[in-house]
Amino acid sequence: MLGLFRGVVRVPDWPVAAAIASSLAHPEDTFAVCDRYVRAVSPAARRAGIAVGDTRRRALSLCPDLTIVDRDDDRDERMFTPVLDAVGEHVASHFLVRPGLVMFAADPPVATAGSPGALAEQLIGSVTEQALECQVGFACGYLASILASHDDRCIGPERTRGFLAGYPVGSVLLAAPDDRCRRDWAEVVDTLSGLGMSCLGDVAAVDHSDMISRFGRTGSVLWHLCNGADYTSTRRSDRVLEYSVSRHVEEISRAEQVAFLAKGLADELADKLARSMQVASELTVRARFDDRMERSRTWSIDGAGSARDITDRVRWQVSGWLDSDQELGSLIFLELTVSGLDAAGATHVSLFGDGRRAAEQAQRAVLRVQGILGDAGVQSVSIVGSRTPGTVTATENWSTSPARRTPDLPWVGAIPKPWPSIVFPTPPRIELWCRCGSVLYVSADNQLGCTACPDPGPGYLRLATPEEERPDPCFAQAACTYVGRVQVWNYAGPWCVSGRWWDAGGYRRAYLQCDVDGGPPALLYRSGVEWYLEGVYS
Amino acid sequence: MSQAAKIAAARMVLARAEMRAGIGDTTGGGWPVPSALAGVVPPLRAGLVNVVGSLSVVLALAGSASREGAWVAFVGMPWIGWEAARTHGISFERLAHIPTPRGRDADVLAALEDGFDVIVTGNIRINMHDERVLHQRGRQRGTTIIGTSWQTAKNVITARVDTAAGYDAGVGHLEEVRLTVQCGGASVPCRITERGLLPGPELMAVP
Repeated sequence: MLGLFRGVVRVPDWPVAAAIASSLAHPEDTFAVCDRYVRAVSPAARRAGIAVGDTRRRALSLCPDLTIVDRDDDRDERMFTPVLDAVGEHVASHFLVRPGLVMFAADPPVATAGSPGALAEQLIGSVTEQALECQVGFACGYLASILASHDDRCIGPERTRGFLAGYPVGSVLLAAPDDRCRRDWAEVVDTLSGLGMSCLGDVAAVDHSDMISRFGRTGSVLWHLCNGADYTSTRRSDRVLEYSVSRHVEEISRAEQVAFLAKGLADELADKLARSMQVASELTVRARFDDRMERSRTWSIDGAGSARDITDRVRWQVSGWLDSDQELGSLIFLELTVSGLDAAGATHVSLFGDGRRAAEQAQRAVLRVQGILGDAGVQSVSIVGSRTPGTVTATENWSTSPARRTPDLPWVGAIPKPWPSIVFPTPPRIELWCRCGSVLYVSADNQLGCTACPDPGPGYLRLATPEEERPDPCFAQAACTYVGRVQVWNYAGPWCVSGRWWDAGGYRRAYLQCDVDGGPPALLYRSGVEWYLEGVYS
Repeated sequence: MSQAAKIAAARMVLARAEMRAGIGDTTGGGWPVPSALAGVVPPLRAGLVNVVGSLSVVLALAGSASREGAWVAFVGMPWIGWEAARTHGISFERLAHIPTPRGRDADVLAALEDGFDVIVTGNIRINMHDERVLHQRGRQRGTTIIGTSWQTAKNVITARVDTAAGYDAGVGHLEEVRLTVQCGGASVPCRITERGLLPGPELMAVP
């Protein structure tokens, strides 16, 4: 029934220590870490009478010159990493209960150190290099070990029940892993005290089935904790960890040198990962160039954590930066960080080439292309719906998330389908003449009009020569399709389409389908006083 | 159950597993082509094929592979009509669109060959040597490249637009474009319609 023999390293008032360590406050200051309530107080503030759990307003009324540091769980976790490392020097495997509280299975390290006292001494020695103070306690079971750490005690298995029995019921909240759990538990604790159970011993004496029938799962958990058993909902401390390696280098501007540097760093990183028996899912490459430019980019390396995979990605990325159009100068600093760590063996590569594997490969290929062309170089496409072929899609920088699905509802007044297979993003300008040879236009009542004859109809079209010196690829493509002045055999339309009248991108166009001599049919439109080629039914 | 029946059952189970895993199709027969072209165009195998004269045929070829789960990349084709592409079966969830490779064409194609099953190229500039390398690499990685003007391509599909139907002198609208697709010695008529690429109308025999 009794839980595992555990050790707990506790740094009292960790949010305060974290705030000091990140230079937000001075140890002597009167300050408190608050959200709506006070979460932790500095020694000076405690002397002023402020207690954990006070409202912010009450704290300020007690001590008007109180410095308030906003609560930041990220900061607490981040600053705790060195402490975890210090614990890791003496203990092979440990759990992070919450920042400020580390738990480990005590039997093996105690055997190594000789006695609990000796281990505690070593731990305190290492941890106090990183934090102001630290307490170590040993006991059987989850709650008992946490309580033992508050008194710096080592409780043997046979004395566990007696040790727990004397504590007030509220102390069980110390074992709550997160705020939500704490709230749930606090309700039950309130009820229990209302029922006249003031000590943990009282709760332990109640029958287990009664606790379950009255308080459900929470009751069961609390009963086990009060009996010195384990409660297993811990987070692995590894999750907050990341590994990084960095190097300052003489100016590097050649791809071969980059490859060499990348290899060295990647080997170092892969070695670190291998020694800690972990695999990473993300790699961040950060580089500084001699014009004080900094670039960083995160790669997904799921299932590809070998030194060679890391080298490849670093090489692609850094060569991409060095070759890019922006003048970054040469490389002077490179840092690689892996994060999203998980125990090796937890991820697995599927046996058959299923969809996931194909998706991973494609993702990798796209990342590599993005390394060459920049993020905007690869686009993903989604249909957003529209009346005209030119505005029907939205493109955005490539992502693996599934494209937005829009209901396939008809658009009233849309250009009749099928739509052209070639749609120019920048429609080239064309010239369109009536059969009689004079200029063709679309009148206000949406009819074709001709300046010279009473029976207007398109007769010839020709691509207008662009004004720019270097025409864009759309014009080139269109010029291959329609060479010179071509005859129009047949036509449909015009249809009037207007849209976006409510903003600056508003348009009003008259569309025309034309069957062209010796080429695929064309979709034209007139906007203002010009004709444009929107697409080709190729 | 006899020995032979057992072996047959085992083979069937293996074939089904391969089918489901998507490896049976790609290693053996290649990606399927649209039914309208099935008579003249062989299944798309790893390698290179040039399609001249019709973007719809390109989209239909890529689309029928995409329907079967292929990852498709478009390189150097900013002018694709995506609505038409969807009609032909291209899945936007397994698609990467690289509008302009900006001078790094060979590098981009080489990178894509590692991860994509079908690469459609448009306006790209690569020299003969790179073409050969990419062609060879694609064949090894199991990638099909659909191009327009690759000089090293041995397979060429030619399409010719014949007529458009559905309208006359301003009345009606375009309903289908008829074209003739030619591959090797054979040719087949087809139609581009609202529902993709369909077999062409039966031609009446000349008496």
